[in-house]
Amino acid sequence: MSSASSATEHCKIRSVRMELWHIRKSYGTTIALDDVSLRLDEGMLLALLGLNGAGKTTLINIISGLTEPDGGTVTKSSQLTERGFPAIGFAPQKTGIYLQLTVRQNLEFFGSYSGVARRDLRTRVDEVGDALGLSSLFRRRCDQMSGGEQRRLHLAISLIADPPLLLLDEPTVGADVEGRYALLELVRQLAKNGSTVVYSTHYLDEVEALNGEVAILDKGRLIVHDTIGKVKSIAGGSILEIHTERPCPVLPEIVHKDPAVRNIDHANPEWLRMTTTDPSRTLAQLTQWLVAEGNAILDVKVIEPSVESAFLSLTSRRYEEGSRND
Amino acid sequence: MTEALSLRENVSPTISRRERGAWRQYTALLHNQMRFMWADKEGVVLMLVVPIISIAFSQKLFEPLVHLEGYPHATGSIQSVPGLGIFFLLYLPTMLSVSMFREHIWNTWSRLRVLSVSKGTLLAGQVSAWAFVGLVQQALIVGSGLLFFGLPGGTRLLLISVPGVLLIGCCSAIGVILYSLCRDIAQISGFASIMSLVMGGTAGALVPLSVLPRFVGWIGRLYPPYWALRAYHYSILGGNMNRNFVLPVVVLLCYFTALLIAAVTWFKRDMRKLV
Repeated sequence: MSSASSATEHCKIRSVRMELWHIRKSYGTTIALDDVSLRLDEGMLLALLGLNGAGKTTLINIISGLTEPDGGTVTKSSQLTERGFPAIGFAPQKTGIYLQLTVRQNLEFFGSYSGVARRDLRTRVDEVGDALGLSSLFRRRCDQMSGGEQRRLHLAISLIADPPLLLLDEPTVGADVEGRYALLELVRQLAKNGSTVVYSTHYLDEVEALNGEVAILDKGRLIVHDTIGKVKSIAGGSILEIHTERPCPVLPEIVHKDPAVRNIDHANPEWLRMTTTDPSRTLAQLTQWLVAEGNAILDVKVIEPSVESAFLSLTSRRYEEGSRND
Repeated sequence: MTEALSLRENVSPTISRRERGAWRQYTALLHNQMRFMWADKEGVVLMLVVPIISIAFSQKLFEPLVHLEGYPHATGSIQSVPGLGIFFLLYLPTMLSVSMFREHIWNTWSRLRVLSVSKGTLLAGQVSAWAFVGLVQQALIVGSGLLFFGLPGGTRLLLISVPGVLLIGCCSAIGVILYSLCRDIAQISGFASIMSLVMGGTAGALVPLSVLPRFVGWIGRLYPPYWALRAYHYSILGGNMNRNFVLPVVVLLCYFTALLIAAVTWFKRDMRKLV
């Protein structure tokens, strides 16, 4: 891209696609979403991150209009509400394709149903098929395709009408490595070209790779929504975790007084967890003290400033542990 | 794979005003339903071919019963053609509701719903294909009755089409209600089997009501097939447009209106399904 077009890209005024205000949703006694407010702008690439059951799918379903919230308001731009206009491209969590039809028939049906003009349909099907590596499979019935191939078609369907708002709910679950890489590239490209993309995932590496905005949901609450850079800085440094052989109920004064150290989490006496701007120095100080106390270090982890450290800082829970527990 | 990524930059698909409309979405849905029928032909065969085979085999069986009813020179067709025609039309609700439910099994329902498509368009697109199969079925049954099974030549085709169309409407609405209220396929097949046997049996579609206990006919009056069969019989026996024909047709029209309202109301609720 030339510098001039790049400048135009940055100066472009982004219009609001959708605003959600104080959204609440419960299923029986389970609160799925609790007072969630979110604004989706043109060209926004929003990674929606959260553990299983955090409320990501419910939020995506409310944005898509499939689920009505119990409370709060959803305001959509006129472009999204015009009847018959293919405003939203949606790839639900579970693969949704017609297994007894061929790849081309699936794409043609959803293209026609979305209102793609007849004269453009064939070109558009070819284009989307190429983008997701489906061209060689056009004449194959979907029940004769692998899971990864079906998943790619599932995503291609959501792109067929080039919608201004694209909702992808955990799109890489079940995708092969090649498909996953291509999808991340494609999503970045779509956002660059003006589409608004909401990408729900529980993979931290995908959030980092997308390099857009991040919204973290935890137990139905939106705990942070900002650019990835700002989210990473929330932790305020690296997180140092030390697993000791014996409990150490009291920490040395030197650690408490160290200006580099904050957020000392000592709830479990065998696990010392703290945020530090100088992890090497803090680790050296603690090692010296533990050896003098006759204790031993079983494990040390340093989590560099990342989405994961931000999650840990905000929830006092390790993201991967939560992911496994769920 | 990445060379064709610039989707929006290359050819952005034209969404013309003309093609945004409900008609384009409706025809796309209808075309898709036809494709599924072609891909899984068993349902269509059951609806179109099996009734004619059943009529052919049951002709002689019904003949003595028809004679007992007071038509000594008639063939069994005046019972078998309308009776089995109506009985096999009662498979339409099952076919329709299962075909709608399959969209949940394939997880395509949410895709269809998420676009700015009215529920009316979605419903019409889903229902039309099977309603059309119902129309073809009734035309084939009456046609084959006239050509091969000795249905009286005085049969009023225009008259018979009125209760036929209304019953197809009732059956389509029942199909949508079944789909809307049932949470899984097992519920649909269970209710649909009982419903077709009860409605068909008490209407006199399987055996003439004259050979059944009197109360069966009274139960039959509660359901549309009874009234459709009365109108069918009257048209077959060369009747005119008088009270004997108009009454069952009016009753059928009332049933159709009520069932249509119920179907649309329940369909709009979009109840959760177990798949």
